[in-house]
Amino acid sequence: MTQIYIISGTSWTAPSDWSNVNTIETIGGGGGGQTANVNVSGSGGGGGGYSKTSDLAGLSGTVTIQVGSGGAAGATGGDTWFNGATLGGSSVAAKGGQGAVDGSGGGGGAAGSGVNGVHSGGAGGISSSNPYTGGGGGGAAGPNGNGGAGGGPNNVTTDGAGGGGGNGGGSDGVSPNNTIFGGNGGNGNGGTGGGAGDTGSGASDGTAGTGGGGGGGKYSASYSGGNGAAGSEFGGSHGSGGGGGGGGGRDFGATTTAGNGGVGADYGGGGGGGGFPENGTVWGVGGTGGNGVIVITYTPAISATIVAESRNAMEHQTVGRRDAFDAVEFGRSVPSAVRIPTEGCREIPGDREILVEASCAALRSSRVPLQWAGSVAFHTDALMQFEAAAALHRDMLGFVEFASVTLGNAQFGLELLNVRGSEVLLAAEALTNGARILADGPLCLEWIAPPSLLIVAPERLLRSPGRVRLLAAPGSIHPLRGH
Amino acid sequence: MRITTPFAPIEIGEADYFIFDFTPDVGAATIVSTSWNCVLSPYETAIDPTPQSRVFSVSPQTAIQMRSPMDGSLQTRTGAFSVGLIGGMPASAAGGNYILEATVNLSDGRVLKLNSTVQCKLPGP
Repeated sequence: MTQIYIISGTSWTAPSDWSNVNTIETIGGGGGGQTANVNVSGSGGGGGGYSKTSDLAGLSGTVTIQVGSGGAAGATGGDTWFNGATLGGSSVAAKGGQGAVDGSGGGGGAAGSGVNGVHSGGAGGISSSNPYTGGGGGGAAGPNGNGGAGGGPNNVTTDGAGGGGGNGGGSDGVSPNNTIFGGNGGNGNGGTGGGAGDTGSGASDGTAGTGGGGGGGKYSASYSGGNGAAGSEFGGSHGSGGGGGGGGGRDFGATTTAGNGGVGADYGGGGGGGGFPENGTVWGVGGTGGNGVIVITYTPAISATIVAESRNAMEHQTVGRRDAFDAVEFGRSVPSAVRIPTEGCREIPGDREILVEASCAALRSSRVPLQWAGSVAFHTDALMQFEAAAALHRDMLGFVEFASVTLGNAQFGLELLNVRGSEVLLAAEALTNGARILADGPLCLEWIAPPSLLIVAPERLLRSPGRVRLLAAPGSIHPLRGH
Repeated sequence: MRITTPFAPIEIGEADYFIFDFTPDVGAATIVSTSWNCVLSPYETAIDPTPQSRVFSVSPQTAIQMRSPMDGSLQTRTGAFSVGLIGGMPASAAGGNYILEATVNLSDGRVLKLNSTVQCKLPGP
């Protein structure tokens, strides 16, 4: 399996080993958390959506893509798509999370608004006009589920900021209720990793690799919200991101500042909203959303061509996959009433006569190692004619071994024909029926196993003159004496 | 029983069928089995350490085919034949004479033997 992460750019070229066994996953960019203003503390941005397609066929060359950027404070995250000039014209696309506005957290990237959408991003936590603390950003959607929603202060003046939502399949960020402490970030898809809310010394980030959301800031303090953590569902440090926590606000001890919203993690986490200052004008800045991503996973195709350096080229080609068991099989069943030249016949029915012929011509000065291993089973009633022929040209070293085991009452006819040329040293060895026959040296051999009717030379036939020499056998009767 | 007519000579490395025709002897019986012996003739200077191994295979036959020296056509002869596939003589046997003897066991219990000689020679005319 090969995995590619695309985090930027507008085009992508399929590699040479691209195959139709693939998955393409997209996460939209996270929405930016809102920066507090004179009217309100900031709400959280929404997390990016998640889409996926499998076994996309017909892909080659360069395709157009878009990787959605994380939204700046208050801005919507970019959409992410693959293979198309627009979201709607692409093969797979995920919506970015929306940016937050006054009194409203950004919506998560909706699965239904994408192409091949699977899961939706978490919505950003809401900050109302009364509280001074920000809302947490929504977590990005991922392969394991929707993103967790960001928490928000529960409209009580002294509530802390909301925690960021966990990544896809994770939990929502905590919304503080009648507590000045910040809410914890939602856990990631593995059930852990949410950052702790601020209890006086600052909010914690989500635990790296878990996709947890960042903790929210405390009321009456100016700590920023914790950052969301990247997930790891795709492997390594790649995964859907957690949302940033909301920033703390109304720090009575500070003169001007408020806490910023935590940053949404890559990929697709929403940013937390900024806090409201007590008496200054430096508003807590909304956290930026995490960038989107395209994750391409495919099984590489393997092709091989083996060509012998002769006119009679033997070519073997197979297309397989690198990590798959590649069974190359020369097999087929022979239909009835058909005589075919068979090169690797796997199954031969036993009720017809079938000619199996295999031939290979090796040209001069070529070196062809040929090995054929296997077994052929002849079933009942099959009449099989097997012929093996080899023509060896000069400068060739030929070695032919033929072995057969004949069981039961089978009749086996073997014919070997060899024509000797000049300067040929031939060694022939045959094993048959338990008898070993070996000849070395210059040999011109024609050997035919006895067929039903032998063809013999007249000069090799001697006829008895008819004078019978009798050798008595036990119990035999003398033909002349009668006993 | 010795047949005084020898077989046509066999060349080094050649292998061919040699046939004894028992037809005049078997009468109404048939050949049940046959075996062959191959030895070098006495007082030969030729050397063959394993003459019996020159007998590749033997079989009884009730019909054989011969190509007519007149017109090349195949002619079938029926009878009682003992056929031995003989060959593979070593170069050290060139010039020597082998004695080939066929033994047949007949269906009526009789055991018949015929033998003759064959000269081994180097390839070529």
